[in-house]
Amino acid sequence: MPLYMKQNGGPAVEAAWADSFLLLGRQLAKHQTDPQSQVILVVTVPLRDYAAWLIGVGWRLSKRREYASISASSFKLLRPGNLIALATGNRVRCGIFHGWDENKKRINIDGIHLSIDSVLYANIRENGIGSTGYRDIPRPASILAGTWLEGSWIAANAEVDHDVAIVGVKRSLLAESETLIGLAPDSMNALGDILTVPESTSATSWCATIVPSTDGGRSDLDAGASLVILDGTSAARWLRTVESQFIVCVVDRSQDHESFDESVLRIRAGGVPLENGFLDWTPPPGIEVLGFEVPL
Amino acid sequence: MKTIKEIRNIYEVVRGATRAPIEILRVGDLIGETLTYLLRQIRIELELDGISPWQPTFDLISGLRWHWSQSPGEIRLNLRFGEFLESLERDILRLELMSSNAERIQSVRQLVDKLRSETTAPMAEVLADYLKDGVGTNIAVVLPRNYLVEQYRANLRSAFPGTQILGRTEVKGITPVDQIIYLGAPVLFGSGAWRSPRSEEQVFIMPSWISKPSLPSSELQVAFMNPYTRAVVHRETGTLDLETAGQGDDEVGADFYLEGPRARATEDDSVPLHVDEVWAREVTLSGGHSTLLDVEGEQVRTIDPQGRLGERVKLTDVEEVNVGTYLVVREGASDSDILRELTLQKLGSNGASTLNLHSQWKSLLSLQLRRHGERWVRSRLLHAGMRTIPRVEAWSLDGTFGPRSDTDFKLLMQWLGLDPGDFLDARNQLRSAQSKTTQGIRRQLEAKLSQADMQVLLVQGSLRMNSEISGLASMLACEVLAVSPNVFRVKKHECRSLKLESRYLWLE
Repeated sequence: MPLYMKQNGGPAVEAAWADSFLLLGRQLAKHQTDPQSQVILVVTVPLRDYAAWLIGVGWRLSKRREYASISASSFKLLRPGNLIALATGNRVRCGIFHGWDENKKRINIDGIHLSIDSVLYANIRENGIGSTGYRDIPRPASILAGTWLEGSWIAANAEVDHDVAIVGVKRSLLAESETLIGLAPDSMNALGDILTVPESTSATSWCATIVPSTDGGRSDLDAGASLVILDGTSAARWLRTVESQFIVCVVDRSQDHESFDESVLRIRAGGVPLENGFLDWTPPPGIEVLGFEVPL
Repeated sequence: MKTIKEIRNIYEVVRGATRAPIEILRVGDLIGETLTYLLRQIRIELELDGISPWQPTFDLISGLRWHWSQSPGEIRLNLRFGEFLESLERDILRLELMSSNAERIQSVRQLVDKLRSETTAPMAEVLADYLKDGVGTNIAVVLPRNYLVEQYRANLRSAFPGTQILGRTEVKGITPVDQIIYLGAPVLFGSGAWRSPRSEEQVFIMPSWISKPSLPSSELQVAFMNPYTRAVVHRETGTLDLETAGQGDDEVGADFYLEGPRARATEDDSVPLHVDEVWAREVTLSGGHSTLLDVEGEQVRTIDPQGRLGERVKLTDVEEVNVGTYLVVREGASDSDILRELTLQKLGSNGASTLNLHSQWKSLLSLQLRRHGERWVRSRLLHAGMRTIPRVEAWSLDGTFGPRSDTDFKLLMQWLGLDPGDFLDARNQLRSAQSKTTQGIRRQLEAKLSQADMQVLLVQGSLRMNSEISGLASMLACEVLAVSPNVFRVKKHECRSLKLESRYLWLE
């Protein structure tokens, strides 16, 4: 089935090239590796646009997560002042918990009373992470068909996590997040709907984070992130410092990166090269991948 | 931000560009392979003995191997190769102190000796062959390093006019060509086939130590299993047992072989030299030339291209000739041949008789040497009262004048049973004429150099100095690219003349 992409105001265009990146992300998410090892993939592309997002989205579509179902007793654990995200059928609301009425089966968040029956998923923000407010949950579209996310869409839209980190030029990456993707021109989701980031408009939940290239060395970058995508050589200079289980470097070959080439090869010298096809994925013509595994 | 349609089109073009046939030539590169072997040896040491101080050396060799494959010939040209060998020697000494495996250390030492005798850049040789075959077609050569481009352009322009020499970042902009050749190890990024124009064929010339799993995927990886891969080139490496070359490859197509290192081995010096023989080293020169330098010779004419006007031509001790020296040599004849020819011209009608007299005492001296040997002749001369140490072997050769002092010269003549008077006059006439000739040559060369653009010499490595004076017509100033460490016997007249060695052209 062909893949389509659509920019704001533009037509839906068939994008077979994008499929390869999605598939790379998907296959990577399925790959089992030794917890003491780090898998590094250096992907060279003729054009870097969207590659990081597509790989991240592919990962998200395959990386299954389990969410505990909600029950009335769960609310008994809450204390006033807790930050909580509640997902109803079409909206995620994040706010301060003020209490709940067991008889009326209502919960009070920021002075708004919600019926417990309408809450499909609740996520207690123990660390107080996240802004208050609400966000409409986008309608799941064709790209989710058949994936685990299709069945867990509501819960996934209420979680706070950063399983994926993309390091790059933040403004460009955020602009790309608004582009739509789908298996049919009339059924599409934005990239940022699938791989939600806190920086997107009115974010009340997210599963990924975007880090500016200048901050790529920050210590909390890979705390919890299984996949770090370094978008461009300015981000790729953090290759040695990131300790996530998987790293993908996306490098644009229209620029010269002699020192980066050599630094990659030096890191590879201390690791084990991965055979082409180890992910059951072959790069299409024009995309090169160098994969290796190094000890963490 | 590009539109999705634009992005799609770029990927479509890329897809089309990668359909050109790919040919991979894996060249047996002695230096790269030896470095690979060294890496393996050192890794074993590290693992077995846990010697952590070796890690920096490991990194150094690893980096050098990569660098060498990227820029064939460059390390040697920049004298970095010599420095590298010295540091390697130091590390081997350290290893000897720290490790118990004498056998392996010995093998490492032998490999370093092999490296010392290597004077050729095999990948560049293969490139030269390729370009020769492709004369008349539209070929582009892509170098892995942009800073090499000017140097290669200067060298290739005359030999292969029309060949485009490009840096890795310049490939995008060129018009379609018949064939595009990528030189060096496959660069991780930048030289991927996607960037090439729609060429009929793409060729990768790379060192054989690059093994399949190390290659960037897609084009090259696919090409290794592709029927388009036509040839695998190895280089016979003599006694060196290279476990790494072509290991485990399912090679496709015909193999062909190149010669091993050109430098002749050091000969046994227990057999004395024949009277007309000297010990010599092979010197590789720019412009695809070589010459032989007599190791016990005194001085050789050189040029300092950055010297002041009128002071560029110098006489340099043979021992000091090294990589980067600019030698003045003549095609087809040695420096001494030129001198003799011009000296005779200067003597005019008396030239032949003067030379005849000079040759007479030399014949008698040679006869004594043959009959009694050098030691006997020397002791007799000292006994007869000669004050300078007799260099009888040298005096018997053409182009020398005998003892410098007149008293000793007369004594030599008397010892040979000759009347010194005529012979001394003849010697003095010859010496004077030759001295004037030498000065004349120097003036001529200085005059030529004052008009010549020294940049040409610095960039191209050689400069032809045409002159109206016969004998100077075919003189060349050439940069020394390599001096073989090996010494072997040659006929004296073979020394210091220029030989054409096109196989060395790509050392530049």
